[in-house]
Amino acid sequence: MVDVRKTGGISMAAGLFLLFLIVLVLAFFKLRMASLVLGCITVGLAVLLFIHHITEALSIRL
Amino acid sequence: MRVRKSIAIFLSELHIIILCGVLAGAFTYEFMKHELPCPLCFLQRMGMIAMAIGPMYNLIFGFRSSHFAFGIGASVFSASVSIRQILLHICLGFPTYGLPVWGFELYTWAFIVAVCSLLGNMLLLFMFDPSEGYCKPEKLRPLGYIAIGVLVFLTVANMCASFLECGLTFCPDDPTKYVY
Repeated sequence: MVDVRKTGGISMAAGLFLLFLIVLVLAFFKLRMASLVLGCITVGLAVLLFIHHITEALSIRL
Repeated sequence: MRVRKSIAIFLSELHIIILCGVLAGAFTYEFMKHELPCPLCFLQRMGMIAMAIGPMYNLIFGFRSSHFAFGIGASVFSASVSIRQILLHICLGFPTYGLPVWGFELYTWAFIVAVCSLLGNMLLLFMFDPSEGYCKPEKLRPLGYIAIGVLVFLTVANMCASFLECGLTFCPDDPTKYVY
């Protein structure tokens, strides 16, 4: 049987949470544009991490 | 208009508090049942934090379409990660990850939460009218301060938990113990 718990790992999870924290702090200090841009970059990085996770788990290259 | 905006503000606060409740539930589960979060679980948690940031922008800066776009994008991302994990375990005979809560696995709950957040954004977009002064920021109410405070606290807690589990390197696909 395939071990479905072996699904591929991810890196820099703590770093991404730190980026989300910076986004929250920037928003709290009313820096809307900086917070919004960094927020979009952070979500984009999370998407890249997800794609990397899938390609690693399936052993494929895009 | 005033009442409608007040309802929209309350719904945004509620949106953040519900997402914080789910994140806090995941933490309770992690520490009470000793179930370490998998990489996809971390991605779902990131998605939930991002989903809460959209309504937080609405509370701090006033209602704007870009804030709704952020929330919707985060919901779609979180739903995608949850579907990926649901599909990993969907076949009969394959073991699931973790213990079920009220009959559903945690990643199924994460998918339901992402879809509900998407519907919440849709509801608020129905109420949103840029010509009626929605874009003007209001002073944060105590409930808003509490919601944002809890969100910041949970983000810090998640950052510490992921650091303790993975350090600054690669997160294993099947974690069994904390690195630190």
